[in-house]
Amino acid sequence: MASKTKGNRWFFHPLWLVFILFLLFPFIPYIGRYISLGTEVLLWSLFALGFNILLGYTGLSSFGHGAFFGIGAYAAGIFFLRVHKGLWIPLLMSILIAGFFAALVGLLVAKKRGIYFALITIAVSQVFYFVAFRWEELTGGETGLSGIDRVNIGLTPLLNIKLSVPIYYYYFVLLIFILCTLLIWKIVHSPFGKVLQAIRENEIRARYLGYNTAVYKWAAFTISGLFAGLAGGLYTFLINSAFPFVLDWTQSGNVVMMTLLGGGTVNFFGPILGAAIFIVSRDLLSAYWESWMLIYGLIFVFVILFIPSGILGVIGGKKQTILR
Amino acid sequence: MTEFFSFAMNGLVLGLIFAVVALGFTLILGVMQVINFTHGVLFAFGAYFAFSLQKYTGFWLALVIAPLLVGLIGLILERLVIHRTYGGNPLFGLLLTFGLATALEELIRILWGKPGYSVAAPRFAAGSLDLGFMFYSKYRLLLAALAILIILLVWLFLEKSPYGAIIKAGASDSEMVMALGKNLPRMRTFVFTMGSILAGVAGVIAAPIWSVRPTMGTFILMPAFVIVVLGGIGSFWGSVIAGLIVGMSTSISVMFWARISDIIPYVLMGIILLLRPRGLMGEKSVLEV
Amino acid sequence: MKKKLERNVSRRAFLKGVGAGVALLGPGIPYIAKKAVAAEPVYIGVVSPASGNYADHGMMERMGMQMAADEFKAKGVLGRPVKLLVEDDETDPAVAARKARRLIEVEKVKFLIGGVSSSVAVSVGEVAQRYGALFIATNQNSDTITGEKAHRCVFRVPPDMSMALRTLGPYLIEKAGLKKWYFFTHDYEWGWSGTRWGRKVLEKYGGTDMGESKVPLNTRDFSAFLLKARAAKPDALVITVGGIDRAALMEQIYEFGIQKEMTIVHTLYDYEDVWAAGAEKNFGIHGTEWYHGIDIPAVKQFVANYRKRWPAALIPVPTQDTANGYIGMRELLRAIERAGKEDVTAVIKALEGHTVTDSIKHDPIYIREWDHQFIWAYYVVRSKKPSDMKDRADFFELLTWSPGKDVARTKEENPVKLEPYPS
Repeated sequence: MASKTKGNRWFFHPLWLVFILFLLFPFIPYIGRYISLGTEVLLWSLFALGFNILLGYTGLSSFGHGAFFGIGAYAAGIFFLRVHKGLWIPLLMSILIAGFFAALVGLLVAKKRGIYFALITIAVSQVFYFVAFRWEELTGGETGLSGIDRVNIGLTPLLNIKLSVPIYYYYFVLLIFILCTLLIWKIVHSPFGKVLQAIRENEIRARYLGYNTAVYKWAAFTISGLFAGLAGGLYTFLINSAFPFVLDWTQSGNVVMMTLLGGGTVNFFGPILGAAIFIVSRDLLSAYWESWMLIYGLIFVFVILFIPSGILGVIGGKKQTILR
Repeated sequence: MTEFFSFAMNGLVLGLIFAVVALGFTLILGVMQVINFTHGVLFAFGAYFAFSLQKYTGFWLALVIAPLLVGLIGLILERLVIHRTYGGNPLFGLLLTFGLATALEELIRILWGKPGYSVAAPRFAAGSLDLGFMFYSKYRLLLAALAILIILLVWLFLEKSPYGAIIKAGASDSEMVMALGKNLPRMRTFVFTMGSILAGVAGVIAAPIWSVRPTMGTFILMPAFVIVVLGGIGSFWGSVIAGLIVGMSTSISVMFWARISDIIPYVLMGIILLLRPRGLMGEKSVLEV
Repeated sequence: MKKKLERNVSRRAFLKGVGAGVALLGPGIPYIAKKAVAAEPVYIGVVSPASGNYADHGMMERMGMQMAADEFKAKGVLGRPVKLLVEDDETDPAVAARKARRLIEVEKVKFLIGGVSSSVAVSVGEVAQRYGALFIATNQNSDTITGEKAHRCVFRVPPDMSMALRTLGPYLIEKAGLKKWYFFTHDYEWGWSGTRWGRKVLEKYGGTDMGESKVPLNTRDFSAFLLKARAAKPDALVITVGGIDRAALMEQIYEFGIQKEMTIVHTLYDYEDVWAAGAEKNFGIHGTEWYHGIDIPAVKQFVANYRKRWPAALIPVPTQDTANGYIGMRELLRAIERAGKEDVTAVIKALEGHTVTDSIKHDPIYIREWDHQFIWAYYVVRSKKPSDMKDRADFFELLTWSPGKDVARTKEENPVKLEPYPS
């Protein structure tokens, strides 16, 4: 039984702290003005948290999850422009279609390990990239799709929220983030989540214990794909456009970096911290130096070599078991 | 149909460039289980060194010196950074080389600037050759000849020299080689350097037809992945044959439907993975499930 | 056991909170410090590529923009200094949009300029329109930017493809006698517009369409297309292919000796690309927006100023991107001055319908109010043989030009409707 509630101390639980921090973000002086950055941190955190189910908890190194983010992004855009100019349906489509492809690809890779797993995920994401790039009629090709507005949502005629206002959209995304984070927390602390961790520690033993590890791996792959798709759809509505560059394999690298940097391999919250640091720093770095990619690459190397447990791993003193 | 023949020739030339690149890639992958993301930028370095050297040394000397310089870079990378990833999760090496590749590409921009450059083909190979029924680019024929020569040299090394034999064995089963007690670290450094040289020389010979740009490496990196999976990790003939297949299919598909020519290699890879996961000529090894 | 867990959780949570707080606040600290000190300048956000495929174009346009900003150093604009905030768009529309949003939301910038890539311009234009900021697109030639994707908050400096082909086409057919054309179309927006207008001109002037090859983006190997073109036996190979693909194409045209069998025509040849190809691989008759060798005093002065300002530049002469960047920035700053306040609607109105008399082309610039297109000349040039070049930058010989107003799209051809002014 997951021991979340600890009597009267439950409100110090880190989950609430995180939520409150994000709740208060727009009120931070100066940096709080950059609402769209906050929204982006939220949805990338969502992506990374979902991805961490696969990487941190199951120990599987997919390097192609950017594809599902991208599929979700395009699904939302295409549905908005061609089928229904709403919000809920396109987002639902992001989740379902990305999940569908994740399930399909998951079938292909569930039985593989190590290098083959990584190579196949890279290659698959490339295929999706080329499809987005070349199939102009569907995806708008290199120019992408634009004009994807955020409509007003409302439950009753009285409660009508104009999502086109950046700060309203920020809180909308925050709401979804909170719900999903709680959901992911439940997943990884459930018996299912425990099996995933067992697979990470020693897959053969898990199999001997009678678990069909391939099914569990497939499930982890698909579930992380669902969240990736949702994040992609939210991103499309943030920038009101969809571009093929979101499907580039470097995006997959970015989400791995975020997850590792923050300490996702040892801590549930690692991906959130990693996403925040990564996105904020990347913006900052490029503003100050034209050749910032040199530093970015070197930092990447440094993190991989010396702090693979990530920042929270270093603070918390736990060591990860996936790399080396 | 002369048209078909031209496409086929182009495919052959493209395939040979791919094969040279893939050879280096597959050896590194096979012997050290490192997915070398820097392979693309090393290819670019080859082209850039050739561009800089050409003014002073001409094409042929540049063809010899530039790859050696790239090999030096590879050596430094391996000794400083990459060797720490051996034996671990492949994600490790992949991420590391990913970060290195990003930094190195930016380094090219810093050193050589952002504009593109042109590398001239040697004088005698400029222009086209009248083959009777069609004209074909002289340089491409030279390129094909050079690539075949390089592949032949690699083959000779792997097959006929004792050290090469060990490497060839190590490429399909590094555990076994470790058991033989050979100096593994030295061999790995050697393999990485050799792979880098191969990437570099491919960059030199491709430069006159592809033009020299900082991002030029991305065009051979992904195909290299595909070729290696298609041909089988660690297999010499696998890389060569798969390289040719990918080159030919890409080129010929342009004839019919140019838009999908990028995706063809991946489709082939998908088919192979379903039917024969170890690749056309790969050996079943610890890399697989 | 449970108690220990709780304490650990609290400590971890605290540290996590601190960590996140620092991560979020930290970057803000230098900004806060900076703002507190200086007097309030007029900020112009420059969104331009410093990496990616168009990095060299970005570099050239930024140099032009800086030259324009320098002219306002003494007096400033509205009595305040001008400060350029430069962001790298990485030739990536998603990144460009993010940078644009940041400039607008955080730096409170109201004026953006730059682009180079057409898709970047579309995405930044969209951001500008949504947030009510002004965007001057300086170096994109796709029809859509002042066509389907035209916005009230977007202006475009360089000509579009109708201006290009309607200047170039008649010269090719009537003066150069090149009546049979084969098209190379870069398979995206810009390429299609080039070929589309090319076909219209062909029909109007009685030329023959010998066929077309659609070249996908990121093509490395053009031999297939070149062989197809050769088989069609045209007089001219009319190419609307750009960026790094163009460089590879020129290499391969030279390789196969295609230029000996037909005239190579680039509908819009950028100087950066000629420079990269080199004197040996420079041949044909082309259209271009601007050339440093244009023989009028204004251009000579501009080139001299460029040389003085950037003595160490990699390309020793200004390119069309430099010229566009310069004009774009200069007219933006002048418009702000005319408007009298830093208000986007006022500046838009100051730009619309304005005529720039001191242009650096043969004709003055008219900033058209109904599609926000800068109307000015387009040029036709011929590639010089290496032996005829006066210096290492002298690639072209000027053949003819058309005033912008003669060749720009009419309202019938471009039924664009701009949004209302931002409130």
